[in-house]
Amino acid sequence: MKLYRIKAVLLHSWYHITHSVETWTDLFWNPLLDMLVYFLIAASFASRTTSAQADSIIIGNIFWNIVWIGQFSVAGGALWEIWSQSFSNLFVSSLTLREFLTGQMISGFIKSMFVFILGALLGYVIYHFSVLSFGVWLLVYIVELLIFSYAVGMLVLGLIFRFGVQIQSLSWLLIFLYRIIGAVFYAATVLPGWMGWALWSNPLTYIFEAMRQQNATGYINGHYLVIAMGLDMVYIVICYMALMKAFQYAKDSGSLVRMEG
Amino acid sequence: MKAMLEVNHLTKQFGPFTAVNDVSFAIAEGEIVGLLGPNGAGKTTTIQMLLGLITPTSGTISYFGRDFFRETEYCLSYINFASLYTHLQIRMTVAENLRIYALLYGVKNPDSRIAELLDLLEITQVKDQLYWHLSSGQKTRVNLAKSLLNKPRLLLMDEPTASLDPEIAQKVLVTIEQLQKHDNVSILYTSHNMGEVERLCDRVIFLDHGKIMTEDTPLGLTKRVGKSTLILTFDAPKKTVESYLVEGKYAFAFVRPETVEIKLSDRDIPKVLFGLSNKDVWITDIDIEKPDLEDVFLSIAGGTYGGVA
Repeated sequence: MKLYRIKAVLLHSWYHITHSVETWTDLFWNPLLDMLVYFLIAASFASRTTSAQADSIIIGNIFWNIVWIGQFSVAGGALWEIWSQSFSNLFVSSLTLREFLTGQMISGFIKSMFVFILGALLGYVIYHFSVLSFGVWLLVYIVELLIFSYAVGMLVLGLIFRFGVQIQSLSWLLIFLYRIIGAVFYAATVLPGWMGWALWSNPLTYIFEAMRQQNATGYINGHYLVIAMGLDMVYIVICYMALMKAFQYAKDSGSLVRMEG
Repeated sequence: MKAMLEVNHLTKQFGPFTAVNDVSFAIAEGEIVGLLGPNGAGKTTTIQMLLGLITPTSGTISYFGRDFFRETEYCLSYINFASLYTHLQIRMTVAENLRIYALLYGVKNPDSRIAELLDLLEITQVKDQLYWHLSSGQKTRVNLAKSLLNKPRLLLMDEPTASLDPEIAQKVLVTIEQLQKHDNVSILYTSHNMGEVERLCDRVIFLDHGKIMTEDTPLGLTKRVGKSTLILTFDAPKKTVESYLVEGKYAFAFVRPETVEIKLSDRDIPKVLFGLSNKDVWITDIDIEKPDLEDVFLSIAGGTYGGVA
């Protein structure tokens, strides 16, 4: 891996963001409006229900954006190139897929932190909820959420390499399935028992449960955080391998160049 | 001469379909080689394999004596690619795009290199324009600028002048000629414009159905394809000319009573001219149409080409 090529991917991401209204809408505008709406709902609930339930909505919203933006940066970063018919041009330089991914992940981290901080500020202003109440564990939650978001981004990108751009909408939609089965906004017990396997086999459930628990009782559920990290590792390794296999398939079958039309 | 590119037994199969079939060739330093063939002949697949975008089923590729699949990063850093069919990021300006590629190729002093190339290709004025706002001629020259950023030792060009107006195409061709002359760059060039190929290429490889049909210099290829056409306009009785040509067993046809087209080999041309003069035929106009690469192309595409190397 060469740093100057990763720097090129980062610069690419920066230039793109400065020119693309769609990226601003997808990554910043929509999440901010979403947060505003949910925070106001939470604020109105707070007078009638327990603060823990309203807090769940706030926590879910602020931290969900890390997952959404992280995965979209990885998958969407490649899609913008495919739509421009410039993806293959990038890879006839010495740029490797690993360098491309690393650049997109760093870019995703920066973008998600930008939105996260804005969301945290909004949450504080509207609802007086401070993410700093999580203390140093805040960093653990962020890292675990980011790893998962990158894993899903790689999975989506792998699927695009394998099946072509006709499934590109997965880069927006697949992650939202995890918003349900990851118990992002509500306690895991809300979901029916038959969904248990889906609920407890993804790291989001453990991370958000741990956050809600810490927020409500102050207890740090280290057990859940270890499981979440373990699952994160399993997800990222499997998704990375699937992506590499799909990339090789795209080169073998010629679909890598056909994707650009 | 040192080989910049060596391709041995390159084959690509997509399921039961063989797109490229046991192709072998080499390109020497400073040589421009044309890769020609009808649509679907396997030219683009070959180039994509040479760039690592498609994995070959079998065969080897080496650049500058190094195995491409083992030393991909090294090889790619010394080659580059320009094509009508691939683009740069449409939502960025020309300068931003080129800056990114300069970084990817590890170009030192990228801004001065970019300015130098924009100046060379006469597109400095579009530097701050978004790529998608450019005309196709401007895009082609920007792509060419991108392909020259790393001062490549070997350049792969896939129809770089298609859809350009003659003036811009001429500028691109001059740039390519300068690259060969001043920088000794080797070039693999595909085009459907036979005139361009004849002008630029030292050697031509004809592909059809994934196989190399023939390989030679443009002149060598046209010599093999067939006879020239001698068109004579004369002031004499038609019968005199006709009887001379019948006697000599030439293939001919009168397009007008005073104009005849004769198919013959180059060495028979003086013989016919002297022979007719000796019969008191006053020749008022002479025109010779020699076979060109287009004839070679058509004979290969039509399956009538017999000069397999």
